[in-house]
Amino acid sequence: MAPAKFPAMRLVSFLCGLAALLVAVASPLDAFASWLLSMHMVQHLILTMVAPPLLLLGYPLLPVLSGLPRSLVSRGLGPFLTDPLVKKIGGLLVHPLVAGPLFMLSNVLWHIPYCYELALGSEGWHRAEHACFLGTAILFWWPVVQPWPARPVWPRWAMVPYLLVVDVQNTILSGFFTFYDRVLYPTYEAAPRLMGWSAIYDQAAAGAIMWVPGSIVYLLPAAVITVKALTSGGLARPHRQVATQKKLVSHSQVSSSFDLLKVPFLGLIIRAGWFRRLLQCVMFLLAMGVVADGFFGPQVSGMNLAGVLPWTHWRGCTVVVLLVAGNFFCMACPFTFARDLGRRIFPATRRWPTALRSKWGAVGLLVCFFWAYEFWDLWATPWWTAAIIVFYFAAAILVDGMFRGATFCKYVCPIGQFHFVSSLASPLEVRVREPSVCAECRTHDCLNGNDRDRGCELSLFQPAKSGNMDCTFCLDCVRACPADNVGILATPPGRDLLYEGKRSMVGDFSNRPDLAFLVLALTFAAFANAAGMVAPMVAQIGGLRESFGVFWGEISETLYFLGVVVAAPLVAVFGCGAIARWVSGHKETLRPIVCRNAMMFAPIGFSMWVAHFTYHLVTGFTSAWPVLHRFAADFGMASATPNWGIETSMPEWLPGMQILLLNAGCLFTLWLLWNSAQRNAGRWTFWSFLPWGGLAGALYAIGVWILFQPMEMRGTLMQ
Amino acid sequence: MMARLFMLVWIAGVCVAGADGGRVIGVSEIDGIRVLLFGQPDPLRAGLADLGVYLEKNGTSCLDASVGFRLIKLSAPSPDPSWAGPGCLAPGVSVPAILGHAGNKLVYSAVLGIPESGIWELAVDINRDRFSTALFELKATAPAHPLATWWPLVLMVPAGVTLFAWRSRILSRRQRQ
Repeated sequence: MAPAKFPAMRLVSFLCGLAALLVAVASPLDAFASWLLSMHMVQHLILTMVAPPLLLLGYPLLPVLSGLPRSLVSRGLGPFLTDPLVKKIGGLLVHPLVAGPLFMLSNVLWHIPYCYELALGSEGWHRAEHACFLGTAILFWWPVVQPWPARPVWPRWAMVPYLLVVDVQNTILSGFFTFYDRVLYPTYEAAPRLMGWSAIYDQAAAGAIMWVPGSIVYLLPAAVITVKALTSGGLARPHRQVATQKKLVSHSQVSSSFDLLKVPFLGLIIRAGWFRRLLQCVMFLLAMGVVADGFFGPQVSGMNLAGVLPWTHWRGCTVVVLLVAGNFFCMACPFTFARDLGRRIFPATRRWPTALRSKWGAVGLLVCFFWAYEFWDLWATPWWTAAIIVFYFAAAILVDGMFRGATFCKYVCPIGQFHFVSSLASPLEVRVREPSVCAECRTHDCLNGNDRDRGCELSLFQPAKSGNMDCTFCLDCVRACPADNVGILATPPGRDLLYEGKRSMVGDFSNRPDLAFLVLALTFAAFANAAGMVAPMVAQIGGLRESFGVFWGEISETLYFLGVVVAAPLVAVFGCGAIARWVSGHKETLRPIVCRNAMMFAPIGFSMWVAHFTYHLVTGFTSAWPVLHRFAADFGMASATPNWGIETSMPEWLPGMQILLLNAGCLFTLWLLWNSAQRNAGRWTFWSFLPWGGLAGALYAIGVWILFQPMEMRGTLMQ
Repeated sequence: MMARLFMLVWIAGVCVAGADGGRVIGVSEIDGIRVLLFGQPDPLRAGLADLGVYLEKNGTSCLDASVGFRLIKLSAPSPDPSWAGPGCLAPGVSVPAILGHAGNKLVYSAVLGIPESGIWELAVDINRDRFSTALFELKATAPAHPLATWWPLVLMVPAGVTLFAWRSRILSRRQRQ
């Protein structure tokens, strides 16, 4: 980039342009737009005559590109920016013969009473109007400003008539506003009359604003261009500047990975052993409170800690942390805290049976848990919630009291499996900082431990580890490594899903049907679980019990659930695998194809979980306060009656955020599936991808349908 | 990482930058106060509605009142359509209307959930020196399909796929050359 091209003035100009945009759309100007035409006119003038030239004078193209993530520029935008067709379309749009008429057309069309009233009556059309003004204005000002490295297509002097023609149009339109003797837009006739201005007076004032300042904005640059051209004798077509063709991104420059443990202060705290213990203690105490209240408190979920904290807050916070960081809830797991205490009594001496060393047992438990959740409405029964937590503690102590290592986490814990799979899409990963350091290591302390610290209880050998599968973020490896060569590093989310090779203690994904089914069950359960709380599904399930009686209704409900969470994913993936194999003529057997591609559904499943759980977290966030108040009052620590009337509502932005999350998950899964097909199907990439892409698309459509339904406000008193 | 974080914050900021709007959909006079009712969407539909009142006495704005909205159904109940959307679950109870909600700080406004279509009465309770209530009859049409509101977001997936396909085509063409 040429630094001489970017003096401070450019930055100031660009920032002023942004400020002008802010003033136009997010200041009281906008708030008064439907009351006073003159205000609305000022807003439009800023959008068309002030913000665009200021933004373009900042020469924003290259600075903006260099500020974006390098991979996005080089791999995402790069192909488009250098494509001849895109360049041709871009060149056409900013050609004076196209940009000028487009700008004038937009100005005239939006001031026709029908269109203007449409914009005043609908927020959506109002935004479309503003986008139209801003978009066409940027195109219009482009040939006038010629932001570097744009090249002029007309001689400079031609900009003078170009600006004058637009000024003539502006004068005609503003004259019409000023001298017309009837109110053009009925909305302003009905609006309150501020400052005592009548609607017709306001209209004339709007016309005057458009006329005088508007004309100045067009005439001033025309005058500057004329004077410059005359003084430099540059009326002739300028010598074409050959823009410096530089690569937008230097591939040799690879940004160093972010390491959470290297963040001052925070890194020290996170890696300290006491920090994990502290987190576990807090979670343990919370779990004890939930258990006590679940057994002995009021059996109304919205009034009980067991009905609120686990199902609304803990789940929601977990998925948010998994999305923005990593598997930190396994780090704070209260069950492993109890297990570690239990090990003082039960010294684990046995090895977990070889036949059970897979995820099948955990998958079975996970399916059972989801079934129990739906069948017995666990979220609505505090007693059962407390019982499950107690059972969980007992299982953790028993399993890990008998068997060595973190057997419970790896092979039994359904919550852990959920975290492992979800953290495949997390942006942080516990991994080796510098592989060459590990090459010289002979002690392998990260795995075996040493006198001070224990090694990885899940037997993950750091140099051969890839991704977050089976990693509990316990950081034992971090503390054990004598070379301080293990960190919590930033990683492209989902990177590990595309890795085809063996991982330490996890192996090759294409050879792990248990993992593939775990991902599928979690993905389909995400949709089934969310669907189970929307009105049409609740009515349908209620109808089953009414039609078949209680017993057969429950049987059919169970079959229905198993069909969705177990049978449907199996049929879907084997169907897709078989079709993909047939159309691409692939010689590979079905099993690796299915296993490999099934893993790619982890992002879309996770995005549905996040969309679902954040709904509960956001809508029910305040529901914890009265419950905690009541709980404290029960122990004599608070006196007043809890305020059960705390408002619970859904913010307007929530559905949009949910759809965006689902969009991200779907696009991510599609991208992974495409990459997988590209690697394995050669020239049949598209046909191999098609069935899998179709399945992801179908899940997305189901997800959008679910999000559009009225949902139960679980965990609140507004059920 | 920081660039990505910045982008995320920026996108979120853009998403929340909204605009005021709405048209006068009713005018009433009570105890010498002129009450102008603004509403959006126009026409009103079942679902979320942004309602606001401007109070005017002797040509000047009244900004020292406390105002509340109450929705009362006048027409016969209509069955809840399945596409009502989550916002429609908000009960039509009394909701305080505040000045801070509106961008111009002159309108007492609140977002109400109109539970179903039909004829509704909006009672605007005004407490200023004395308590008075202005009544407006509102007709709420059937709720809009959520896709009518959220289609730009839903379109992002096909748009993303199209852009990706286009990009792949550009790259493969370049490779052939």
